[in-house]
Amino acid sequence: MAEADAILKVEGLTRRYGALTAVDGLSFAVRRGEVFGFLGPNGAGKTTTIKMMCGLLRPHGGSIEIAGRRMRAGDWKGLRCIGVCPQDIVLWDTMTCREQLEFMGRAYDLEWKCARRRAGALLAAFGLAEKGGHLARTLSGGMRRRLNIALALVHEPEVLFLDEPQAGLDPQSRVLVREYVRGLAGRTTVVLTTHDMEEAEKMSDRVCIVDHGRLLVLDTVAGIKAGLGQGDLFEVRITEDASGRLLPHLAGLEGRAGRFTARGNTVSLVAEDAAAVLPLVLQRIREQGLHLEDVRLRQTTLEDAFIRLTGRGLRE
Amino acid sequence: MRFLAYLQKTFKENVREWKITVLALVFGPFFVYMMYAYFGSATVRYTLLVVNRDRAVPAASGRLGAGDDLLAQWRAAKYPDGKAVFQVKEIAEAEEGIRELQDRSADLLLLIPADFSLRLSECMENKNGAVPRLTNVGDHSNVRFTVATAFVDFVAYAYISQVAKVVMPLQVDFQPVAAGRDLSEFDLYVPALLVLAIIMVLFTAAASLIKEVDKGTISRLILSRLTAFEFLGAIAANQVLISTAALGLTYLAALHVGYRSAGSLALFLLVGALSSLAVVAISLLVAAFMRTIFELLTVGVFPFFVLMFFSECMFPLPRITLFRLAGHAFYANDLLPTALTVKAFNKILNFRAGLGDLSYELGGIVVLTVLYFVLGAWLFHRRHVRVR
Repeated sequence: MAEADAILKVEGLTRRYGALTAVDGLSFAVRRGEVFGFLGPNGAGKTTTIKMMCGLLRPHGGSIEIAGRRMRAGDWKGLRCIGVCPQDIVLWDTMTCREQLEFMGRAYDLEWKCARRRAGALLAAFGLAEKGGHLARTLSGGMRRRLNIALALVHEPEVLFLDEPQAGLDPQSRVLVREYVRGLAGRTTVVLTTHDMEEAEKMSDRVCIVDHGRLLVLDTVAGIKAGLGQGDLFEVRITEDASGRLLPHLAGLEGRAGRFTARGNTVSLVAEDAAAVLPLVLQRIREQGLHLEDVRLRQTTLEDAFIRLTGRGLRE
Repeated sequence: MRFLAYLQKTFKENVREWKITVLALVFGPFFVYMMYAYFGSATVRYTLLVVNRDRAVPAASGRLGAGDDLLAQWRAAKYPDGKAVFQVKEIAEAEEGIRELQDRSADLLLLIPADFSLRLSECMENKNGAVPRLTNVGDHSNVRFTVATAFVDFVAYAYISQVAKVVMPLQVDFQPVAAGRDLSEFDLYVPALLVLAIIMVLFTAAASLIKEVDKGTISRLILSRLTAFEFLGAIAANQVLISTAALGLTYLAALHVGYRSAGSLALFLLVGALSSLAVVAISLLVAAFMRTIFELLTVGVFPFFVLMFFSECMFPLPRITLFRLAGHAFYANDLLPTALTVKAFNKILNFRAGLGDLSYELGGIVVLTVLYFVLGAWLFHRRHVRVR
């Protein structure tokens, strides 16, 4: 990526909490106008990184550059080029939706009329037009979440940080938010953290996966999935232990189809000719007197890549 | 613009979270009516229990029944407003009186011995005879006992000097210190009750601050262009408004039950507004150490009571002198701006003090307000606003 394209550059970013290094020398750049998926398991350092990037947390090392400006503590105050939607829903319960949006606009020095116009537009865009006069505490969880996002957009920031924007949203709201965020692409740079791999895949131009505060991969979704191997994925589940009873007997098929992996009772394979290999695998199962339980053939997903990179161990 | 936007926001929130605002507004008036119900518009009436065993004796003028005469004198004792000083109740046995003293349904038990008139008569005839004796029984830790004893003695000495035709080599005149009027006990409570209305702002102001921390909305404010000065200024302005309204309502309640101020209303409001600002400054200190509204409504009660008690809103406290400067003593509770406000209100409302008479109190309130504001803002910033 050409450095000149980057609106946000992070180099060697580090943050510690006592003995724990939550973010460990993280470096990446976000291109102007792209939707940048920032993914990782719980405790990977995503929220800490977002907080440092938007000025709510002081880094212990490294640097952050936004729109060509190297940031120092205090530089973020009143910075209109960034908007932040925190992970927690942060609203003023006894203010109406419209009042909150107008207030945030005025807190960013928008003219009163402009703030009012922006508030109206955002209420409409997030399906809250009819709730404009309602107090935030009377809204449903999904509406509160949508208002939480809208509040980050009142002052039309160049870079928008969305930390888990879709947590707790119903399917309709997810579509609405996804379409809105995708609609921003090209005009607004969006840095998005989420646990929802399907959403990340649908929304992001590029994805960065971090774990233990370190960068594991940064690429387009297609590029990351390609790292798993070309082709489709099939999974065969038997009632017996797959790694001990079946995997040794699939050795002869590897040359054609790629590498098999086994986990518990399941053997999986990513291969361009996965459909052709499948009958051969089923034949080996019969020959070994094993019992077939389930067979699945599907395209690889970002989640497959994510699990491959970060492992299956449970986090916090 | 931003200041006005935040002022508008915080005002609306205070109106919509009406319970705490209404509590702040009615707290002072409520206590005015309560205190009035207990103390009335006149001074306190003391309950005397009298065991009168005195037997009348023949005297030059007929018969001398000094015990009965004394009882009549006590019953006739009046305040300048014409209301009785004592409620006198005759009882048969001292034990009955002691029980009443113990449960504080009476203030003083007087025992008049059987030979009271006889001794008085002998004294009148023979100036060297044994003097008549009265016995006062009471709880010495009860302030009402002490005051009642002083009044009882005063009446008794006056009676004896009149009957015995003894000219006392001393005359004591009583002159009210208030501006040309006698103050009732209730009048003395009113300045403290007015300050109570201001102290309640501690909760509304601290709640306005802590709510932003509790809900996480402070992060939105930190990132916006709203400055600390605008944020704190808007909250202070709004709370001074609430406090002044509460002060006004409390004052109206006092007027409603018959209180009459001697001093300047404008000066009273000026001191009230300054004092409100001082309480907002203290609420900044309180808010700096708390993160949730729940903490404020539990732990926050402690600073509230400190302000209430040590400002002498409830009862007078002994003075602890910290130091003396240019002949002026500085007391420990002068560190509380509200304690100085009680003094200032008392001087203005009851003793018609002018601006020049309040230099110590006003100067103290201003200095303490600035000090607490700077300290509170620094601590609040350090604990809730500063990027860590």
